[in-house]
Amino acid sequence: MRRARAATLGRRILLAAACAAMLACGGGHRETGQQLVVLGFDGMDWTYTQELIAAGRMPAFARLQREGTAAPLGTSVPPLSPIAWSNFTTGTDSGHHGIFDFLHRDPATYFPKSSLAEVEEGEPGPCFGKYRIPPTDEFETTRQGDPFWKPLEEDGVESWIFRMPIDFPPSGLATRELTGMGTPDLTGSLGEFSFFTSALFYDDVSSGGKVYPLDLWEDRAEGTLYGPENIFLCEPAKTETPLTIYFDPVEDVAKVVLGESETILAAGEWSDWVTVSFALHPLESVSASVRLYLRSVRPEVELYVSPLQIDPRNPATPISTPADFAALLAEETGGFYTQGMPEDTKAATEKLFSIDEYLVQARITAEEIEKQFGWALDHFEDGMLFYYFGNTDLVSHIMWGRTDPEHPLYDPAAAEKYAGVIPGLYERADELVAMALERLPEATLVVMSDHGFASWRRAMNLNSWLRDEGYLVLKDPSLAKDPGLFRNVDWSRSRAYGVGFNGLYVNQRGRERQGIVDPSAKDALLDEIGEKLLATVDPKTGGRAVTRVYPTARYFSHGRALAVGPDMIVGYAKGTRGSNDGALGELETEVFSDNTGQWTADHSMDHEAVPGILFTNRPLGRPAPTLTELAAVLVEEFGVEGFPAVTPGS
Amino acid sequence: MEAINAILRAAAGALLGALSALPEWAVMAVLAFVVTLIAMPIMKWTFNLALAERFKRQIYASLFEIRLFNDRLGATFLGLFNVLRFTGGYLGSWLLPILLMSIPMAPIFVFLHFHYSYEGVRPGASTVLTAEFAAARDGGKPAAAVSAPAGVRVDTPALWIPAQRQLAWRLAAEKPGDYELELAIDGRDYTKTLVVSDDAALRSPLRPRASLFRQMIYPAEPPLPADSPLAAITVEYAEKGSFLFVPAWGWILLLFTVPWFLLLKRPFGVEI
Repeated sequence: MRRARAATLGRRILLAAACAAMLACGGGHRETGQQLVVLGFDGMDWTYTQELIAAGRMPAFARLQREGTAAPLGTSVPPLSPIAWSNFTTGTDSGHHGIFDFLHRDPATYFPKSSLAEVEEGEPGPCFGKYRIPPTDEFETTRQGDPFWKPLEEDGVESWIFRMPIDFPPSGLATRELTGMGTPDLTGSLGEFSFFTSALFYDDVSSGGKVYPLDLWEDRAEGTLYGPENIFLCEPAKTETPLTIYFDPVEDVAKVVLGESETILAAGEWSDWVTVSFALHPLESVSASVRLYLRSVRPEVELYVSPLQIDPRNPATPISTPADFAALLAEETGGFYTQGMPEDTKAATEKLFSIDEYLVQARITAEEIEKQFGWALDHFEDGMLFYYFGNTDLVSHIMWGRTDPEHPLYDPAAAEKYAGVIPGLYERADELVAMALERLPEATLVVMSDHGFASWRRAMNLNSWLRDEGYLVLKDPSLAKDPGLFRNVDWSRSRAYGVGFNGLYVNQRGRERQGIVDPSAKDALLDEIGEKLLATVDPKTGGRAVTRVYPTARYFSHGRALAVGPDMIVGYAKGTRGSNDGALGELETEVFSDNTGQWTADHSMDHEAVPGILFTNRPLGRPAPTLTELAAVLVEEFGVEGFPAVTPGS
Repeated sequence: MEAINAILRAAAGALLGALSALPEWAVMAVLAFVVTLIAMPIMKWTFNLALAERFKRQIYASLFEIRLFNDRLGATFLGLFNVLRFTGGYLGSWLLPILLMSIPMAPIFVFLHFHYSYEGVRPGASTVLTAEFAAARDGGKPAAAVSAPAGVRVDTPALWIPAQRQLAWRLAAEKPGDYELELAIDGRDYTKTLVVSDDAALRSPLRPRASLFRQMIYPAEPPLPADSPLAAITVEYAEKGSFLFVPAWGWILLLFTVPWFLLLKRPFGVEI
């Protein structure tokens, strides 16, 4: 387990000095005379890429296909980004690296918990008045196994790793490293926006952020922006900073004063990065950076404040290797989103953002990342550069299904309006590939994705299905609305349950707190459930809802991490996915429902239905048909042998 | 006052301009020499060495008393009290030299502050331009416009905040340079400097209406006319970080004055 203690000033200085000394000494790196550039486009779909290449809309990819190699890349089981990128990073599968889903569960409570990173809370010290010596909370990564850049660095090869998912806290093993998916915001969540409104009546959102009221005066509106919890207080409370919005009596323009920062915005404008300080005690504060979006001044004052980003110039916890690399990037290319998944899909799915507003915000994030990509290409000289782009995935989730005539949300007018969005994403990816080819003409270029994409039309609630099949028994079946988080489940009579998008767990005796299934009966039960799942038909489509099941003990390599994951992974048919409610242990009346949410597309299905892509500008040493086999092939380009390459299903 | 400020601006511009090719620490090393050179004669002529020596001897005596009579609580407390008293007396002997030194030093430090304490507005970044009226104003929103030279863009219409008596605009810096913004407010014209650069340069975050005190504090730009309805025009520059309320350049300057003092004290015959 890698750990990162909240960095103190002194420690950062020491780290910086150590890094400077390391760089001064050359860091033990050797000149390889090679440049291997790997571009990772999250969620780039093989079939769709081929269609656009055929239509002449992706000339750089077409060149790779013509002059190098092109093939679908086998994805992970299930095809979810944390798992897929962990497969790539470690060359192993979930049995070894221990990431099975976005959500795992605590067998002691049955409650879902994040699989991406954990916080180990320390013991607080004694109180002195209202203040105390704070606990030393530590972030821990849950991914096990060595990343592929470790053997490279051990062999003296420089590695630059930008935003590799599930690499928070930073491994500290690369020459330069910036953390990606899994990096929290300053509050420790995966990104919680704040939305302020002067409206008297408003709806709060269920997740992803919070709506706050503004007190309206003649020429201004006042509110409070809440920050992270103040760990120095004996009585825990959130830090806060005052927010005042002064608005013009005539024009739709306002001055937003946030703590000591102020900016002027016209209605509909986004601000640049604004630094906000939250006082912890009279001598110390913690700083965050935010972007503001003044949605309207009239009839109501509405202001969106992005999730509080860990300030790259003054990070509260390390987000890069060396520790000051994030600050260097900010100096060179400007402020940037540091949270792992910066596109605010929650604001879109909660309908706080219109689709147009979401696309603007997503474009802002993409431009920052592309600007840093330009910097990386200009400064990278030797060794391996990995660069991750998440925009392709997080825009596709919201937009892909809108042009699918079979999607429940399909609206011909909207489909026409947004017809260019997904092709635009792919064309932009093509431009980035062209940029890499032009700026580093001698480099070996590898363009890959972790999985493909599909329209998500139908949702299946696995827990409701288990209930209907008699595997999950409720305490009170007459409840009109299930309270969620399995609170109405009678564990003394339940044999199986689902957590996460694809995970199915047996209520196993000796493992789950109230387990009833004997370990010796588990395989038979899983076979029985698997057969029934494969025979399940969606009554609306008339097609199979599940096309593949993966009993984990038989499918995955037998690593030590198997125990933390589900007993079976459900491979939904293309177009179907596990429901959001079901993932969190909430049962619905019907097993199947139309997907009418703003999250219109997904990939968490049968892994063979959504392969990723692999393009290279010249043949690699040997083929890499799957994610787990790719990293070993890449490190072999530098003559480094022996990195794991697990064949899926073996 | 403006005549003095104009001379100081010219002198500071010439000196710091001549040193502009050097890194900041080297500039501070040079300036530390200048500061020490100014301080030395003042110290020599105004520092009462005999008085200071007497206080120092009394401090040593009190410390000796504490060590000698450490088994007697009353004597120990009296010794401690005397240490504090004579230390205060010793520091008091510095008062006159410091007061006299502050006369030439204050403008030096003020100009260094406006030269080195602010971060520049970088090309691509935004800043806020504010014109603040001296008194509450009747009659609704003033007629106001900003004209920016090429290289700077005015991004928003004028924002009028009656309660703060402020007009404000957001400006976007496009190209590096020293710019003069032209403001037309209620039929009168004003100007305000804006520096778009990341390099050390004389930056004036606030241009006040003419008054002795404010001109002493903000000498980096000529003041607004004394009869101006505006109290000040400001451009927001981010302040660089500081440690114990002293900016980095201040610590570097202080650090370099020590070796200069040790080198120069013998030629000047200064003892402390």
